[in-house]
Amino acid sequence: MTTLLLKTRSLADLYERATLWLALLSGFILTIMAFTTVTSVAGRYFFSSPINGDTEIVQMFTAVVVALAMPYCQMRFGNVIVDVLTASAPAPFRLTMDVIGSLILAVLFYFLATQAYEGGLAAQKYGNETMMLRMKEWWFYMTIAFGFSLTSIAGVLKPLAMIADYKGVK
Amino acid sequence: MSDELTAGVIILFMLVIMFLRVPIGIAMMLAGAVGYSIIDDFSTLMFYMKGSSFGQMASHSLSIIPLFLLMGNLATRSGISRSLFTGVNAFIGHYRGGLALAAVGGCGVFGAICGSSLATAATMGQVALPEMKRHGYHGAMATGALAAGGTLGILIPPSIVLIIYAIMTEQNIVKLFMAAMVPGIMAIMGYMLVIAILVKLKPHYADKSAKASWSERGKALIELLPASFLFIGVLGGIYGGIFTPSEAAAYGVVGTIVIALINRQLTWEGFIDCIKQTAINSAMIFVILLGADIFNAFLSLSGMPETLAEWILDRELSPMLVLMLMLAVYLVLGCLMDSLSMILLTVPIFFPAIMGLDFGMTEEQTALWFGIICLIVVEVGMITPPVGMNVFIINKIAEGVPMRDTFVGVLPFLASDFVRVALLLLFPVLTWGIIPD
Repeated sequence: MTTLLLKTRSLADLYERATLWLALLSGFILTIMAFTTVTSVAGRYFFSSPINGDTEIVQMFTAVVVALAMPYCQMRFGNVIVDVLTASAPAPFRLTMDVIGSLILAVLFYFLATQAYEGGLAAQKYGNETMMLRMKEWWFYMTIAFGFSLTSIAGVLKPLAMIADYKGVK
Repeated sequence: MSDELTAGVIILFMLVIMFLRVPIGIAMMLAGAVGYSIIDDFSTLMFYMKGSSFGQMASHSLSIIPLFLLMGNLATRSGISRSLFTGVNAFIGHYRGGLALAAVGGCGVFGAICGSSLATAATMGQVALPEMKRHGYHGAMATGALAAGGTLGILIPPSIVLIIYAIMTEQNIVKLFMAAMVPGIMAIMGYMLVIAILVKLKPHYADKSAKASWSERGKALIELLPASFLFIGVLGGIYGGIFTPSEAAAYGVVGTIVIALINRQLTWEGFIDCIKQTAINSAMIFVILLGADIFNAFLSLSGMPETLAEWILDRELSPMLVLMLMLAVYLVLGCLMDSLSMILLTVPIFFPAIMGLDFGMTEEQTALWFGIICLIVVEVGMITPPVGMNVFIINKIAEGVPMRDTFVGVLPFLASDFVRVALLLLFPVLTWGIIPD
């Protein structure tokens, strides 16, 4: 049992590091979005030549930024919970409830991921594009589906890591 | 079972699992999904979900959320808070309680750069608390002023909660930001008045610092310049119609990076830490938004908000009474939940009811006014027990001040919050009055 816990613990650690890279990528994209917008606004006011489709870039890449950040957020147990009423409950009870919460998240994000994927296929079939830059909408649907899938996996791995920590496996 | 009754049961179910530690966004999503499947069916829900996440996430108006979060995270480590505090202090520090006044003033300006109460309280606290301690300020005074000052972070635009309210109720974000301006200034003045009265009554609460010379003041003014550029750029840009809110947020991010680099405060590790924190915060907010989206889809399917609104209208209750009851709900919930979740949870139910009542204003005015009052009341939860996040974080930073002192210290500021809410209830024009036609 201990070896199994040990293995899942190190797997969860590995997964957290991998999702961290995605979160950092998300942060860099966000920073680039900010610089693009400022360049575009400066271009609009000073040279009356804004970057074409800058609002589309910001709109579409917001989805990318958020989708790539979600798995790491769950691995860090960053989602807001109400813990006032259970703060003084026994530790095993709190652990059980946190595990259940994380598993519910895994199930819901599984559905969200499959539906975003389905939505992406539909968008591809109908050839949906953005107005100015003609970016394919399905790319972004698929990025969302990717982020949601990883979040769903995080919802399963995180409880295992929490149980391992609770049992004192180092 | 009628659809409205189902909705009632589902809401109860959601609250129970929420209080049992299921993440707020996930509880809303689960409740919404179950309710949707009962009233309609599972396949329609799946069909709805095909496009809903894309619609929520690929959104230009919501792009301001990660951008403002990044700006706030960068601002906390840019050295801006220090120059704000010393700058303001150079001019008013020699009055009794001057350091506390400077901390509140600093929070007010910092609030325009950062949309979070907690970050504002913590950042100003790190700078101002050691100074106050050095000058022998009483713990209750020092921590109370900062915990309350932190709430300015969310009240002074840009504010994440206001952005979400604007999107949910289809109000103009710029107008909402404008409507928050006078109440924001009232908050700063109210807190300063509290400090002035406190030091009159209890002179041992605070000391005077040495009066700054004019050359020191000149230096402080120069130090204030970069922060002023940000402040004027972000707020002036939005109010003046030069920037859209998203553009202002982008300008804020770039400006904060430039200032942090000039101040030699931003290291590569610091920047990595900022974007890591921004990723967690943004994901956290969007999980709640996704949950609220499905929950709201279910709510509108059930027709419960309209039924409730009609029921209230039929009772012919005084509109003010209804509003007061809702505010009471916010005060209670505020003791348990964070501001954003509260707004997402209650606005879909409360807003139609409020709009159905006659407060003697246009629809838009009512919507703006209600938004600002909600914002203030949910913020009160940040400084009341047992959750009072601002109080806890300031108390932690202050080291050695008993928790009791901090809660006692916050009380007079809380009183000023209630006075402000009462004024806004009596004179709604204070919110939408400054908006040009």
